[in-house]
Amino acid sequence: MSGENVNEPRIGVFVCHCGSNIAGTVDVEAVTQFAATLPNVVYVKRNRYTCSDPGQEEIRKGIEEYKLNRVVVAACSPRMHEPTFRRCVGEAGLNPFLFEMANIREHCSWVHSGPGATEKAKEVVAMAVAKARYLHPLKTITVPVTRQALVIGGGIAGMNAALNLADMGIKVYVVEKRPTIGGHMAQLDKTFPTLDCSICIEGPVMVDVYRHPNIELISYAEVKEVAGFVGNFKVKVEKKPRYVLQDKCTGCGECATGGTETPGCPIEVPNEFDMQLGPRKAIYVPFGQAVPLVYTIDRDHCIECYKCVDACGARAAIDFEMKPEEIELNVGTIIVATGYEIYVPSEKNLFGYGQYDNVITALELERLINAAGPTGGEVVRMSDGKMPRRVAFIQCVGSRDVNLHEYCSGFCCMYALKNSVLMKQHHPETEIYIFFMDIRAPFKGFEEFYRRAREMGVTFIRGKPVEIREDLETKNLLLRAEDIDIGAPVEVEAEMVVLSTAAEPGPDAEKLARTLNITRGPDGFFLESHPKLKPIDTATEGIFLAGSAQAPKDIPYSVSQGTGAAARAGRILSRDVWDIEPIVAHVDPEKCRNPKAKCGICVTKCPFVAIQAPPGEAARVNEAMCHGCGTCVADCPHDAITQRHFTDQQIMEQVRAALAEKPEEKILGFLCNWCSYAGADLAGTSRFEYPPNVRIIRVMCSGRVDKDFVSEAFRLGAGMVIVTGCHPQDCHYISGNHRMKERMDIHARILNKLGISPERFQIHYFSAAEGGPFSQEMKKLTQTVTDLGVERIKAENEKARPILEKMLKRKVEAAAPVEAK
Amino acid sequence: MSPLRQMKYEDEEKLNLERAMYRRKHSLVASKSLCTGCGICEVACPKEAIELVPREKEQETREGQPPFIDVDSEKCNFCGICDLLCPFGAIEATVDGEHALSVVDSESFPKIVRDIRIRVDRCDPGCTLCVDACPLNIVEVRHPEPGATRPELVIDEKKCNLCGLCTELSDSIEIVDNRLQSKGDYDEYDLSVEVCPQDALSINEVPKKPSINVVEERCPTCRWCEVACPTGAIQVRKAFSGTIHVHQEKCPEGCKLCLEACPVEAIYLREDGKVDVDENFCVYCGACPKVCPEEEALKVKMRGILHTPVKSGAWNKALEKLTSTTVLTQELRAKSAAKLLEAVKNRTP
Repeated sequence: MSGENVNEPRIGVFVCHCGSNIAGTVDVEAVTQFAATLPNVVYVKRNRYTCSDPGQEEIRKGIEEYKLNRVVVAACSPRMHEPTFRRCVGEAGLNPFLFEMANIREHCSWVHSGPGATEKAKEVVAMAVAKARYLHPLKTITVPVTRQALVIGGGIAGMNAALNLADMGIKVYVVEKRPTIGGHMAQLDKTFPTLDCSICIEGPVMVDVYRHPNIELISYAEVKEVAGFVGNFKVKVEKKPRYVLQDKCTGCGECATGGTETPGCPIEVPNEFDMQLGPRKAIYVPFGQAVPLVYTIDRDHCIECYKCVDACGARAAIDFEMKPEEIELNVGTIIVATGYEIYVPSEKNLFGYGQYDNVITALELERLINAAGPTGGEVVRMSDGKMPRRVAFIQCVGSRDVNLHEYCSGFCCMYALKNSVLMKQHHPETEIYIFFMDIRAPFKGFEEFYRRAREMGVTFIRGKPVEIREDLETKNLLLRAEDIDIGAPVEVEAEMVVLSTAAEPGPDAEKLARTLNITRGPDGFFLESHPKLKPIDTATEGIFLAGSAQAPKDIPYSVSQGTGAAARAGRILSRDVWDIEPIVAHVDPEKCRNPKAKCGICVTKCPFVAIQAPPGEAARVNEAMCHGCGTCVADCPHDAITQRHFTDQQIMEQVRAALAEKPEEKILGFLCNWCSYAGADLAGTSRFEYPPNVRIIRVMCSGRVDKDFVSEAFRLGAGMVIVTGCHPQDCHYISGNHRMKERMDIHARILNKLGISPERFQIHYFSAAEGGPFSQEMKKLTQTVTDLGVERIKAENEKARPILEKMLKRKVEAAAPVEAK
Repeated sequence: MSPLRQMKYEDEEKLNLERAMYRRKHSLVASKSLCTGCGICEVACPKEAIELVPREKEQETREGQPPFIDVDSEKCNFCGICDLLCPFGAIEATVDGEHALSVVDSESFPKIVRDIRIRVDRCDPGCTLCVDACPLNIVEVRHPEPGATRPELVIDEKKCNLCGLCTELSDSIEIVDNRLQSKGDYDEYDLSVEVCPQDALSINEVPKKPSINVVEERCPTCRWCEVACPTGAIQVRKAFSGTIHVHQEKCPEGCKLCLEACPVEAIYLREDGKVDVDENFCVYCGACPKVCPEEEALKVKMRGILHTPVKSGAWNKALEKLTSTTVLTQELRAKSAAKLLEAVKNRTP
């Protein structure tokens, strides 16, 4: 413990006007005066802008002059300025964790009006002061940093991330699933809006990656296991057997095509790289510029005639006995650049795809128009091999469609324009029709390109075709649509139809998310830590996102993000040690029952495998691996685990402060930091009003919410208790919300038996984007409380109280503050 | 990933498998009438894509009816090995509509050698015994009209100075071992006869020969035609060798299912009402045990296949699966002996 006397709190409360944001609704003076009456508060002050430099100076001055050892700032959301104020109190010599925020802006002044707002603000401050009284100084945990990085995925984003890190002098491993790096960009013909040849500009980058002394390329391999934490990840990579020795293969290709005297591989297989439109051999490189230029045997199709072995001859590069190889890597950071897959509408037969020969996807068109593609660059029809003279593009196939993918894939408008321009350039007589909803051309040079397409005579029709029919004889396609711009039906007979299909997360995204302990959004793409301010970070420290793995992106955006991810990773890798937030779980070995009873419950509850409970010993938390969700804390049947900065006692005090007055009218909510609390913040930012009887306690994860908190709330007479988490699949701690649900479902049944009406204890899920739904729900819940009536609630509580008190006996007895290191 | 444009459809006559790419279409067609359900392809397929299935799925399967094949479109890689090995020519692999076998072109797989020698000059006028004998109806004989003649080239070797002018004008004349030779009996010599500067060529009218045509790719080389021919005009070397045993004591009373299933009529009914095999005609295809209701009553084992020379792992594997490891070892030993012999020959000029 530091020299501060933490047993005698001297609390300073700083109430912020936030201009008129708070002061316009809340009587700040009244709140300040009220704060002064709270126990242990020795100093109060109000500021116009507490976060401003003079505002922060006030805090530093207060700490110095009044010997404050706890600071409460009543202002905006802690998600906004907690780091700012922590730094501020730290500068004044106070431990940064002796600071607490009272959110009287997003959760009060922006969503309430009238005297209720001021009353709530007072209680929110009281809750913060109550918690502050029991805050402990915490020491930041430091971990060593391995100065190596892993990049998963060798597309244009991953390659740029790798090159940037390698240039900083950091050893980088690039793991690529396919036999070659290059990703989707290698498949494209030209790039918009400059019409650069895609592989011509990407090829040299691929070679740079291969040749860079600091980069080790592990191609045809997959990440199998990831353990460890920021600065210290242990990664298991499985290298699939190519059956060709990388160091001996010269890339000559005689095994596939045959040499002067030896025949080559007899088996032809559709080439995945060519979207299965053209053949490759069973021993192959996906395309000529592949890196590494090493052949691979496709054993699914190989008939083992060993003609390739004969053709390879003295080079002896082929080894049919090759086995999968496991490689273990130690890295400090991981960059996920696994990209996207193109949506293929074959299952739904959208617009006749898979049913009519001359309906293709845009990526298939890319391969056809590409001179290295299966037709040598000629766009021809599948049905008769003839060049189409009238081509229709249909936009937003699978994108912007609530039944498939709600999001806009972003680059489809531009590639459709690009392909139209290319086709017009090759054969100016080709008629082109683009059926679109909106043309989105917002970045540099895009609008100009759109104009160019229009000037070249591309016809734009606003409206999605409602019908597509194939002429059985000509195999032409008859499209019927309503042109919204002219308000009339249009019919086009196209000789070829190109579907601009959505980009969607790859099939392995789910597995990888589980391996890496990172989250995915409802769209299936990997989720960033903050959509605005941390668009590259994941919720797991040390793991970053680049390129289309996060959301569909075009090439420059992917390159930028790859470079950005390198900067974020470099920020960690350039240091010898890294600081970790110390809000981790801690086991009290005295209380832990594992030495005697082989309990181990915490081990099974931890989503991060951070707890070990060897037989006969007390459970131990690996602090560096602990993400601080608190699930184990809530689930420990003996209260032997505590979460630093979110201790049982701190939260209990918040509960008590929140329910000090008129508890029967109140709704007490436990909100998780990442989704629900952020959703409530958004309700504030969006000014979605709701009644002021809601009291919110922030926990990092809904998994932290102990049954005892709920019991205590009802013991104190709460009208309603809600626990809210991220949506079931979106937990930032993988499964904390599932654990909460399991626990609370049981507890709800107990409360029910005790006579508490079921509607008085509810579980909800709000995402960070659901400000509106949050506000709506609060209104509905308040109505429920009102409908039940104070009298009934009181009666129910009265009936349940004796048993609740019995259940909480040990909590109340163990009121002594937990010592912190 | 785009889906494969792969199609599989079946009608009364055949099973059709197609894999279409831009500028390349692979297909595999199995004929229901030609397939005997012997199962050679099932065993030999390197990808285990072929399975024997009851012939008429929708109708009640008649007991003892030979099965047909089903091809798994997920597993088939259109290599054509089944086409090559089918003794009855029931399967055809094509690329872009042309019968094409890349495994043969790349020497990855041999062809079955169907050594059928026909000497029409020995044919008796009007004789069609071979046609009648063929159990598969793949022999066709055409006898000329009585008295019909054909032109025959007569070469006066004393006059010929091998100038070669005639060979340029006619595909049917060639120079072999410093001698002019006519490849056959044709009508188109007129011009070459006339231009010969040495007057060495003349035409002689001779009686027209009959023609015998055997659809080779469908011939399992059972030798019925050879045995039926009284003059030795057809000679067939068996492509398949092996052993077959009927254990009559195990045959169910009055069962003739194998007899009905045998595609080459090598099984016959003895006087005591039991079935037996005439090994002269058996091709060891294995169609009979497939319909035999008793497990132990019929034993067929293939021991060897006459094939074009090839060095290939795929063939070794197929041979091993179809016959036995012993046979494979023998073949490999023979091959290495031949190689050794060749090496010795090369060393001693």
